[in-house]
Amino acid sequence: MGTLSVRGITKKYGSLTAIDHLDFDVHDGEFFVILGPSGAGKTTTLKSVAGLVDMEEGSVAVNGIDLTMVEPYHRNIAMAFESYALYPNKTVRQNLASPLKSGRTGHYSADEIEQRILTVTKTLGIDQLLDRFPREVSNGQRQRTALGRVLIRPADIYLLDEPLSHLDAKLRATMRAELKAIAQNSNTTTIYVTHDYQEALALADRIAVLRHGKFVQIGTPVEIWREPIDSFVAKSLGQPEINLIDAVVANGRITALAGAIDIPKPDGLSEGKVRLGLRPSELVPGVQVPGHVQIKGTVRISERLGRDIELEVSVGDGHLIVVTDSSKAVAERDDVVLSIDVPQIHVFAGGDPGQDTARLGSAQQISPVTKEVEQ
Amino acid sequence: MSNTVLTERKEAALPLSLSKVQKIYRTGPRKKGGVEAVKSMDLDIRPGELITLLGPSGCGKTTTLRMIAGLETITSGEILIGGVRVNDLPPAKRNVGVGFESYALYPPLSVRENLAYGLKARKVNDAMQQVDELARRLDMTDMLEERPAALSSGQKQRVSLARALIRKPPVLLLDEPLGHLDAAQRQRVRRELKLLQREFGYTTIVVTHDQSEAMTLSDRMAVMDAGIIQQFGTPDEIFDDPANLFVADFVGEPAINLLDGTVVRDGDKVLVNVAGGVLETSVISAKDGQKVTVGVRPQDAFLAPGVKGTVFVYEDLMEYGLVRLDVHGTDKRVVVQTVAGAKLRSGDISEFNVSSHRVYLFDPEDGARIR
Repeated sequence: MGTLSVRGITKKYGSLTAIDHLDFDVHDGEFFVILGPSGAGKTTTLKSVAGLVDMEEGSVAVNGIDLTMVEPYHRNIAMAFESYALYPNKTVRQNLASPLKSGRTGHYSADEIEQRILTVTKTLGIDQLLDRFPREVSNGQRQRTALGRVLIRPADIYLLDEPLSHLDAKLRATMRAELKAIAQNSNTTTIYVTHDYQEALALADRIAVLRHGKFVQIGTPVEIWREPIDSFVAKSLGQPEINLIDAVVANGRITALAGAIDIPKPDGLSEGKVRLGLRPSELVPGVQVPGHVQIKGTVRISERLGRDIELEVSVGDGHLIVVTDSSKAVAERDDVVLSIDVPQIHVFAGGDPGQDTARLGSAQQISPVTKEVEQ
Repeated sequence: MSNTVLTERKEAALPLSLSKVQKIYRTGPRKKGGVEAVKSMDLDIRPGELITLLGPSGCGKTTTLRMIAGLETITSGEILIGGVRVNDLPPAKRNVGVGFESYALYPPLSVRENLAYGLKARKVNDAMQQVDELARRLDMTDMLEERPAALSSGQKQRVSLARALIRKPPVLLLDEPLGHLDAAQRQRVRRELKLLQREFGYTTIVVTHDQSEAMTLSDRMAVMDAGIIQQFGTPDEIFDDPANLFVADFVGEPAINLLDGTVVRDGDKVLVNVAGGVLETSVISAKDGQKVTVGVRPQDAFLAPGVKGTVFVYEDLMEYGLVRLDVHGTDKRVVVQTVAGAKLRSGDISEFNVSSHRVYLFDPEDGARIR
């Protein structure tokens, strides 16, 4: 149980600024996920909270007590690393017991230690491996043991660095659910770092999207998904990625893809170049809903994804990626009409290719907040 | 797009077939012991077709590819490329081009020179135009002047793939060609690979352990386990009509739910009792009282009266939700794909059901499909 308050933390490696004046608060019992691509500064952020790097600037406080000058050992913060640090000469049981025998988080009787080991290993599904050595278990089981070593001891804050990244896809999904259950039941305060947006959506109370050492947006999964602050955040969530297409606002209309998209412009959107964002799962082929925008195209590629199919549809002078269920399959080279509801079309400011730009609102409504920022 | 310098080709794509191909790795003293990596494999690939060999590590997929390439001897059986037996031909004479996971690039040459190397050797006139166009298609123009040492593993992999593609061999063999790429890149390169493959018309075999890659890439896919092709078919056939429990379980994400059940015939209806409830199935050959393994895909299950369970967790993934139910009367937990934003809390009692034609039954002993 603990509240974390981080102010202005900055860490440089030579001329490279890994994290740049980060401010954030994590509430008591909150599951806070930092999402970002590799090199964004995720691990450095965690290490700064744990006290494992010398920060150039900033402060870290837990439960109102400034820990900036406190040694990691005394911070009562538990951290699991992506590379699982286990004692090779100790069994799984001995590895799990060692944090409880160090004495720094209290003293435990043999019975208490055994009880905690049983609870944690049962939750993590490794209770049958207690007497094996790390080399005798799979990569996934080693990662779970490393996670167990962190969760077994009481701490104010738990820091988890990509704990599922070495697992295969199926085990990762199972463990993700286990972690969610642990978080729901234990009311621990957790900071969780990942590059996997589905982990972030599934686990987080709030998500902080990190890019080049700065938070781009912090919000609940629903906020981040529905109102991404810019095209970078929009691209960070969803696989396949959101379709981003260049568009022009003129004569009261937004047009894109050589006229294949031609819709009235919402109030408050000024003339010039913009970018439209359309999520692949929100483009529906074949069903023409009154009031929805209709986009005509030709299917270039159709691919099966389990019960879903993924279409690449040539539209005007570009293409759109569409994900739909296989009952709406369209053959390759066939014409198709895609429908999307107007509020689901995101409008971003115009920009050069590869440049990320701010979200202005939807094709239905321009966000008043963003408009102020624009002025 | 197709009338470009890149896609002109002279040689026709070739069919490829494997007939009773076997590979035994000899081990032990005097090589008497042995591991049978590939067991009497038959496979017929049509000219211009893209197939994948999919399976877990150790299933024999890479060994099969290496035998076709000529990098591995064939213990028995024969391999025909374009109707010609190639068992005893060296790799260079087999009409195959390979892109293997270990990207053997020439270190002193730039990416551009690495790609142009084979073309220049064959005195192709427009080698540089071909390199430029392929680089554009594979999104690697900005790395053309780099040396291999300066590239990330994902970039090296794209160069290695490009080098295999640009030679336009009649048969193209690729081992995990997208393994080192990140998710977004993998998507783009995968799609471009597929388009290039179609335009060039190479007969192509891709080895992968990634079921979603196999599903999206293949014209047909061979799902392998223990040196045997468990099923060879289109992605639709593999997913909708799996031959056995292994295929049903290996393909699909999240994985198919498996429960123990007992068949009850009730007039015209065939029912399966599982602890926690009853499901109706359209499997007509199931016998009254027969013990079965029941398979239900998460995407086919929906929340409705049928089989009772307690919600373990609900995950809202915004495009859809996943609910995990602890099925009453068992130690099994099933996954049901449902709508985003569902009001489900851990501990809630819920129920799932599934359309009768989406209930798969398997023999609990050998995993054979009961139809």
